[in-house]
Amino acid sequence: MSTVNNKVSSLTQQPNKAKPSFSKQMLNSHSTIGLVVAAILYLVCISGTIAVFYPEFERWEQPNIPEFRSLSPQAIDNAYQGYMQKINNPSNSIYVVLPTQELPRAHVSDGENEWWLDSQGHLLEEVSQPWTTMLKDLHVYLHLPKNIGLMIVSLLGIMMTHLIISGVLAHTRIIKDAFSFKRGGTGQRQSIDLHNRLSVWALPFHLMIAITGAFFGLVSILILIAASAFFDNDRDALIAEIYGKEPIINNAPALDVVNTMQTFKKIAPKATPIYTVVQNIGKDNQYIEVAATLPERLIYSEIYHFNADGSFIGEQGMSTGDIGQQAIYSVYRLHFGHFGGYLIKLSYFLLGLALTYICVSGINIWLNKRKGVDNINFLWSGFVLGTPLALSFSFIISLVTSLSPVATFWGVVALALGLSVYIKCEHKIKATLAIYNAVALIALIICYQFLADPKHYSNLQYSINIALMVFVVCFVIYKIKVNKKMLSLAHS
Amino acid sequence: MTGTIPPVITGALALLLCSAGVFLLWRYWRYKNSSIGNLIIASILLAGSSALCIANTGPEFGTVYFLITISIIAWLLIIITSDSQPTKATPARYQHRNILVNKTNKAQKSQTVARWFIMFVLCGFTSVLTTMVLALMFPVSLTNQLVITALSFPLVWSIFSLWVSVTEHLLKSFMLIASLTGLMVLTLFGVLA
Repeated sequence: MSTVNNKVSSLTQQPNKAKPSFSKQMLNSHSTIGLVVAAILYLVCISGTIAVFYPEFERWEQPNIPEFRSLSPQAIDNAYQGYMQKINNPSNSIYVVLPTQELPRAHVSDGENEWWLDSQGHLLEEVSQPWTTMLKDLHVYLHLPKNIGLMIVSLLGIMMTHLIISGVLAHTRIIKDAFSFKRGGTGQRQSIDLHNRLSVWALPFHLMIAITGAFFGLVSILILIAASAFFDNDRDALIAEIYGKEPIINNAPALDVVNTMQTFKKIAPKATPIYTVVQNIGKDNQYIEVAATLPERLIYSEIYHFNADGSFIGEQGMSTGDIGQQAIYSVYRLHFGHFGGYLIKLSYFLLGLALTYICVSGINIWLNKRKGVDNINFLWSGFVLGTPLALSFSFIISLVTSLSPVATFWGVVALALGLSVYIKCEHKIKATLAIYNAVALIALIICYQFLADPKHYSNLQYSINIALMVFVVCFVIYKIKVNKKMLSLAHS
Repeated sequence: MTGTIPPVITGALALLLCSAGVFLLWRYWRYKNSSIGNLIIASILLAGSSALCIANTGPEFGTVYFLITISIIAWLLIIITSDSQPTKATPARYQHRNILVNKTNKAQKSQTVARWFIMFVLCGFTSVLTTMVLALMFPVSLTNQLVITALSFPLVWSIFSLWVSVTEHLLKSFMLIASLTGLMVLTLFGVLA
């Protein structure tokens, strides 16, 4: 701990010492911020990398839900009718989320309650994805209260940007070493090379992730200041200025979802609807919104407003508004990689893995530069390998029991940290936790095979099971290879 | 061009051009006496690849696809052309006792706390206010000015925090940033009120 404290205090310069060079100063700043945020950054990176595939995990968690590629206007209407019959006191906004290529199933939601739908729009069982929700909450809120968690994760975006800029400025041989990668040796040079090459060549991606990540939570500061400067403290007016105004409706006619969807097809034939919302359902000012993606556009969606009887009111202007507005609407899909199908998802997964590795290797490089080892080394190894173990284990627990995956996740992380301090040897900690990780993944696949009904399996369920199995095999082979090397070195 | 050629072909062509461009960049980097022509051709090939990506999928997706492709191809090339050295044992390192005592003195501690406060609280407000005032100078609509602020203040915040993290004159920096914040508040509210 003392070394970390000293490193953090190293931001307090000694006036009598010779002034270090600019790149040295940048490196100091880079390593200090890196050390302070490493653990949280690692959690956000690893959860974000896995969360690229969250729609697939949602499908994997509830394999028995019928899947289809489109929902007819009549089925959407049935979903609203079914919802109204089920809920006596409906919420203001009722969503029917339509099937898409990435999530070919539909559900109705009022923000609190969610039910899956069949292809006729009849309500089925409740949406229940405890593990995927835990994963998403870890990435967005770190399982903290939402406001605090979002603020911390967004501040992490600022620190990531800080790390990127200081990393580039500290890297005096950025061009000279552009393609250099020396494997082997003691491993330290390999780690440094890989850390630098992965960072430099994916710099635009990392910067985009950091800035958009910071935007999500910290934009509230901007809203606070801009609302008081330009909108007489009226935040709703500011949001309406950027995101478009909602229509003002009086004496709304009866709800006609079928006609709305037919009109929508006529006015936007190229758009792909992703959800419909009935706002203020059953009230005098009810109206319908249809959100749809547009070809070759990165914006999350365009929103089309309709009167309750299906007559078209107008577009919100997300695709046609100011260039700045369009940029803001594109932030979500850009950050989460929800465009372009599986090729982009795989690329985001790869780039996310690289970011996770950069985070881990940065600390490893610093730890290896120290002359000795202490609990920090053990805790870091335990934390890095304990986190994926906790993710797998919490998935098993959520499949088998109704225990909270959040509690399981943090419980396993705590156990891994305790075990690492007990073992007190980095190699042993890594080897032990690697075995536990492999076993947990195999156990997860076995549990899933036993608990999920194979008659509901689609290609996705098989694909995830096979991908996990292939990963376990590759991981075990890699660990055996590494252990053999270590043994031969120990003998020599 | 892309109207007649199927998108799969143009996509493959973009990938090919990008690979060739990165390969030529690598050659220019690897062989010290390599001609500058390699660098020029590499730039042309990469520009061609980005143009094809944009023509194929539009400017928004095209730019993203191109940047992802170039990263992944460069990584692949780095791994393929890596130098392998025989594995060596890491030098033996002694095990510390777990020292949990902080050796820094009180003055250093308070300076560190102050520095972190400036970096992550004061710099935050300063960056939002500064970018907002600067954005107001752009001859675009208020919405666009706010969006420019929203997307650029994280970058400005990081630059401010980077400066504070390395400065030797913390008090001076604090005064400067606090004055800048005050000035921006006056500009934003004083002028417009």
